[in-house]
Amino acid sequence: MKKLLLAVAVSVAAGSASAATIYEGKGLTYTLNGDLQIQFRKEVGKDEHTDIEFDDLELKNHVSYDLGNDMTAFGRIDFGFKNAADGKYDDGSNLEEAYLGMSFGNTSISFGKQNFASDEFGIEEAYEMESKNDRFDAMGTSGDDTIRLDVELANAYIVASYEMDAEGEASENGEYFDLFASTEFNNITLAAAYQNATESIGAEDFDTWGVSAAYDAGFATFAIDYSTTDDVADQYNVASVFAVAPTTKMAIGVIDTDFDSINKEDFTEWYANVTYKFPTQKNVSLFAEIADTDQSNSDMGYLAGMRLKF
Amino acid sequence: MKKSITCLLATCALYPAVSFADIEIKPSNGVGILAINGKAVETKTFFSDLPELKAKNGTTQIVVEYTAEITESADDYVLEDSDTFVLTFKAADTTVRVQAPEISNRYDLKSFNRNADWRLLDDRGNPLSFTWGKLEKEGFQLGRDYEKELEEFNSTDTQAAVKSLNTETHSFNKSVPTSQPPSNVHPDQKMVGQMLEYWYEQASDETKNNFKNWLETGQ
Repeated sequence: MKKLLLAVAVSVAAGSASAATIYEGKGLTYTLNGDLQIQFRKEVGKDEHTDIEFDDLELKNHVSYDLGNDMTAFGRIDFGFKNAADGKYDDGSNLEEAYLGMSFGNTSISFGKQNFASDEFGIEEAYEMESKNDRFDAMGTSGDDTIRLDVELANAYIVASYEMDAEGEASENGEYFDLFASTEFNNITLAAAYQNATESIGAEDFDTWGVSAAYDAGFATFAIDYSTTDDVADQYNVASVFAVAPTTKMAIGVIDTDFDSINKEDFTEWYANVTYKFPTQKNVSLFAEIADTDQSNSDMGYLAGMRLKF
Repeated sequence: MKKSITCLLATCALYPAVSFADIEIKPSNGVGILAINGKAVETKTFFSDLPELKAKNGTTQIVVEYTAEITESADDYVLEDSDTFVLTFKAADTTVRVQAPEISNRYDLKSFNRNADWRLLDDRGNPLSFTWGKLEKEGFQLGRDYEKELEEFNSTDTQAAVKSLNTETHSFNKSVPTSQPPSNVHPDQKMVGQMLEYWYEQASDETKNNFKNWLETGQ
């Protein structure tokens, strides 16, 4: 659903960008991607103070071997440093993803520490939010004993994943089964997702459903999603992205969260952000955002930051 | 053809101020022009202007790549480059826009690499036909020498190869005044004209363009 962003991707004079393919030869390809983002931020809420935060401070290593007959073996190791940079723990880096897999034409299967199928769901366009992105994000969208199947077709994308509970092992945690499917036609993107989550062994399991739609009208993209976890909460997002200048785009959105429990306060959050991409390098951007909720005793939050990708 | 070239030469002689127009190359979003006619394109920086992406009228060969933003999850993407393509086309007195379809998943990127779904459009929006090939380098990819790779590419029989780009051409000396004293004029102007016409037709596109520039700037 990142297409919401891409649909109004601002044009740049040079038009060039580059990913870093480090080595390519004899069937081996090694690619290094980076995502560095820093923010000067005051969070939404009461008595929040401004600080400098990192959001995405990642190095992503991807290695693949061409095995012939349209078969590829691949591996991925991603390191994230944002928590270390924010002083949240001392061990330097955090292993964000680590998996191996095989692809056969347009189908791939992978095993390891990775995102669930439902991580593909959602249309929100905020840099930071008080709310969860959607109900799947609230329930969990990544694991370390995960088997994932991806099928990419001309106009459709289908993903299934299963996270084992690994009872009695060091990686013991919950059990999750996720599905995601999306399709595109006539500038419309439709998606649906499902998750069955058991957050710990022996605990009650929860079903979560979600649907989304996005329409690219040329001058702007409009999108909406709705997701619900049985007996827990419902949530919807409405967002729009539009270009305000050849190098600048703007996004606005609203998220409403409605809890089934009377002990939790329902609330609505809104945000508006602007992103400037340098005409010489589209991978360097500056951005700013304001956001607020209708919760009692909550003050508006704001941020300004910079992002570099390669 | 002979008549048109004779006319061209005559026009040059009569109207030395006539400008021989170029074609301008404009990449669309995500498209990078890496080389034009065997010469690597310098990268634009924040402190320098974008180098002029221009070529002489006639056959033009460009090296291009497309960088796609491949969706990784609902709120993240990674950059992936397409294969490195060589596109060869003919154009005159126009702006050539180099376009690629918007690609956001690996399925489309693989398809693009397989089919070379580039679109070249002139300033009226008409598609230009082109031939294509790929520049492939084994080993470390940082700091590729596109000029050397193109030399090898253009010495092959690949459809998009332009062998004349590997041929050394004559540099017309602009410092010598072209208005020679009357005593240097050869008495047999008919033969001179025939020779000019003959050698012009033997010249490569690049030599012709150099010659035209020499006529244009030397008088």
